[in-house]
Amino acid sequence: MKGWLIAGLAALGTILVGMVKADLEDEKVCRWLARKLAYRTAQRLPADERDRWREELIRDLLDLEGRVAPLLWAFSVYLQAGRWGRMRGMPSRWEVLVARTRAAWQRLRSLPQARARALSKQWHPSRNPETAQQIMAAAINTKQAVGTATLEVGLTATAPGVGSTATYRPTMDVSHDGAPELTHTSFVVWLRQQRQDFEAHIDRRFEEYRRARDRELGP
Amino acid sequence: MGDPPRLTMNVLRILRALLEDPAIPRHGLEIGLGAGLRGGSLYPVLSKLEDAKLVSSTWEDVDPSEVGRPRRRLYRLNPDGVVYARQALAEAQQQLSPTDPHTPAWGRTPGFPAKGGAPA
Repeated sequence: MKGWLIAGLAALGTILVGMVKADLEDEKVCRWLARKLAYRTAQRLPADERDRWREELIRDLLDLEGRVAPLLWAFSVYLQAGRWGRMRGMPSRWEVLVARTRAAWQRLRSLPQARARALSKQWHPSRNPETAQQIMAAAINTKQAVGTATLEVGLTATAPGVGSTATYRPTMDVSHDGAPELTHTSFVVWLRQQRQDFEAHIDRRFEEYRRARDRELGP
Repeated sequence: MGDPPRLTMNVLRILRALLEDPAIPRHGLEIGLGAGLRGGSLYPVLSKLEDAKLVSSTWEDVDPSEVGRPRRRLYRLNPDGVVYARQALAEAQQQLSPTDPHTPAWGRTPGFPAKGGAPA
């Protein structure tokens, strides 16, 4: 069994080495690989310098002739990329690994709290379907109350005594998010004042028009 | 001028390559081949020298579509850099040239006589 395993691994290794060798004999593959190494090198540098060095490294690779020279040049740069990056203020791979592990551990530790927060939101009364329906009904009542109040003030202003507050639903006392916090009394007073001001304005304009017409027509 | 980099053999080689004709800007590969350095040793040193304001670099002022090739990054020693490079190379030359031609400067032990001469 052990002999078969060794033979199999050897055969697999031979095939892989042959494939890699065939690829490396192709100049296009070598240049592609060199370009990839240049990109990976630039990734190890600070973000504000990456574009400049990427362009410069790839530009210099173009000047190198042959199949192996660009690859060796790019590989030598890539080997020093970590040291170069640290020199430019980038963290080492080890530091990145430690920081990521620490962040993952913190996230893992905060999972119970996050789950508790999610459950708390889920169990909040506003998430209850019955409560949501009640909130919707209250909002509809508010709209109706505004409409009713407008109608009543109009009736009161045009024909005093006709308007009745018996149908008014005092839901405006309930303060909702974004709704004006007016009591129903002050709201009705405000509406009435607006209506009176508007009618007084119309009366003034009508009086001015009548006088101008009289002046034109003469006595 | 910023903090000059530590004088290593690679730094000295690059300074020497740049000092051959300080007026002519050279691109990275040319400097590397002139200094006999691989890319991995070249670019970090160039960026260090640039940080120290000894070397300035600019993109080649050509239109790639006209010349039919991408632009190059060109390096040139600053006036301060020329003075610094000459001084550094002279000091290095002095340190590396042994009084005894058979023993390098770093191989001499204080108190021990050099070959056929007075104590070093």
